[in-house]
Amino acid sequence: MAKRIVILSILLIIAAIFLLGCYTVLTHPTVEGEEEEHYTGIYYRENCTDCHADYHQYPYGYYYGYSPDYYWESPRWGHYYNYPWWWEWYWSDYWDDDAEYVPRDIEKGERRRSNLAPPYSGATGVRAPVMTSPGDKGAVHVIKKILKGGSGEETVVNQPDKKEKTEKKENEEKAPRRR
Amino acid sequence: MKKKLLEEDEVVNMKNITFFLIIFILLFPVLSFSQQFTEWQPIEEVSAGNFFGVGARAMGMGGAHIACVNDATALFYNPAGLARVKRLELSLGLTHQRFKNETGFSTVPSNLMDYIPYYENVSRRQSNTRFSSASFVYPVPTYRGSLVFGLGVFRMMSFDKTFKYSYIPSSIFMITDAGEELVSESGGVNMWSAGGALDISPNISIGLALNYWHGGEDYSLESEYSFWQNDTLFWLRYNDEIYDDYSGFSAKLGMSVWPSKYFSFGLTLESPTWLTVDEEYILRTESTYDIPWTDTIWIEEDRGFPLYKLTHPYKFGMGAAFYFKNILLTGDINYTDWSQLKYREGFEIGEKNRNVKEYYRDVLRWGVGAEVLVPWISSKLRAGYYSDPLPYDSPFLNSDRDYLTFGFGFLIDRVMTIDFGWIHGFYNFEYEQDSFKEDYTTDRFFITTAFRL
Repeated sequence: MAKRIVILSILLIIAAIFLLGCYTVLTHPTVEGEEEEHYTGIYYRENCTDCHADYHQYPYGYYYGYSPDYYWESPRWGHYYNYPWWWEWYWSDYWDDDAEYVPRDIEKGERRRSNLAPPYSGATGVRAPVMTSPGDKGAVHVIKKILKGGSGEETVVNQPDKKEKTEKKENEEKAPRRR
Repeated sequence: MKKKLLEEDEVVNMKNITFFLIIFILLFPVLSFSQQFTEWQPIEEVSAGNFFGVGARAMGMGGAHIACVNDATALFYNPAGLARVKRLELSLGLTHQRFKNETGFSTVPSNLMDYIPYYENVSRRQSNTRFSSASFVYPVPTYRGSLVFGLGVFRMMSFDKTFKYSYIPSSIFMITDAGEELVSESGGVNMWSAGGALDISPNISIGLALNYWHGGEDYSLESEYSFWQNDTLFWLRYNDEIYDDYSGFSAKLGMSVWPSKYFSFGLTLESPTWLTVDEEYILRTESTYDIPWTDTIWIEEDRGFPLYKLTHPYKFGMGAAFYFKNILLTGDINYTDWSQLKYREGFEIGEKNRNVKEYYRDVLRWGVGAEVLVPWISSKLRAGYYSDPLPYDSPFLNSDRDYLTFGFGFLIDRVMTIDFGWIHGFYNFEYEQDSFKEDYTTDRFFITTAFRL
């Protein structure tokens, strides 16, 4: 009897998840009108902030749950525990000079990278982006400098200056919208 | 001490039965310890309350991992914790256990030791190095939330244990009763686990693990008694070997909740574990009497292949974790009512189940732990404590199973961790009536390495 109850409970939970829908989404939903358009070579996710106003709050482009502070303060541990492996594919065109895919829209590509690249990504020779940790609402920005060709890393924690904020806002306003 | 399960159709020569009955009746005073022991513990189910520990990181923190687990050991501690894994993970683990048993007199005044028989102070050690774990975790790329699958094998139960006592006769009075018993056990049960977890909201994850249990135990008992009675010396040697093969199934559900970035908690529910034990026993008894020893020796050997099935009860777990800067504080509670352990098939299961109801109890295994990241050495230091009470009641239990734990871990090249854990535990029994004590000391070393791609 107990065995049946356990099996039934498990099946009910699985059924509930599939029938009621789930928070977890594997792929980006189809953007309205995307299917009708012919191929332009412009990747729709380059304009993430058009749809996701809080995109800059979360280092992975979408909220993946809370993380302890030290993931950001000690990027090596943050990378080990919290940097999704599939994001390395996503950034591979940027990190790897020989990558096959290069975004056509350089301006959008730069905007995406400068805002969203995580501080503890596995790249070398790249200037670090600015990033905020979830919940901190921009209180602390972590800038990571990776010395090209060198083995050392330097992590600087500081407050963003007004000039940087202004430039960032202006760039976002200038960037062409997709439609 | 382990009861042998006899086959129903066992046929024993009546002449020998009569002889052994006489021997046992005459040996009654010598066996008083054993009889006293069996009075309150008619059967010891070695698979009950047998928690060895999984993962060097977790065990360095008192095994308190329900709320904070974020690696492959989530399959055991809390399957929902798999949802916290963001990279492909391969891990391997080893354990080394040093087990020490000490027995001897506890309350006999030294000035009386020449007048009365007493238990000699003896100790016996047993060391075992075992494979501990191997696992693989695959996080499915997601746009939002988390979906992670894991597969692993973990050594859950350990039977590596030893026991020895020696009974010394009085040197003044001509009572030469003497006895010695030596028990050696080895083996363990592995849990093969497959599971998955997903986020059902931004801060809530659920997980499920399906487990297949498989392992074995080798048990060996050798005892020897001799004594004078009416100018006749009786002597008995008893050798019992038991080989058990375990297999079984269970499932575990888990939930993990992060109300804020400073706090998380987890809940787990483990189904009953349905175990089948396929046993083989060989019991050999040699006995004789009179002097000289060249007289007739009776040898009796029995062999049997009983099968018995049992069910472990539901297990409930709850844990909380707090995160402050580089510090993690965590605590777990695991509740199991072992009086609900049930034999489903086998010899004399009615009697065994009555005994379980009478002597087994519900227990709360709890633990607390802390982890501190020391940035300048990029290492984590850990410490903890856990209490793992025996699953049965004993009026002779003086100190229950308590463990202090320590550990550290470091990260290499952002892709590989090596964790070490050490736990030190102790428990003991005292039998005042026999002035006998029984101490157990355990040291377990864990090493786990994980590679994240």
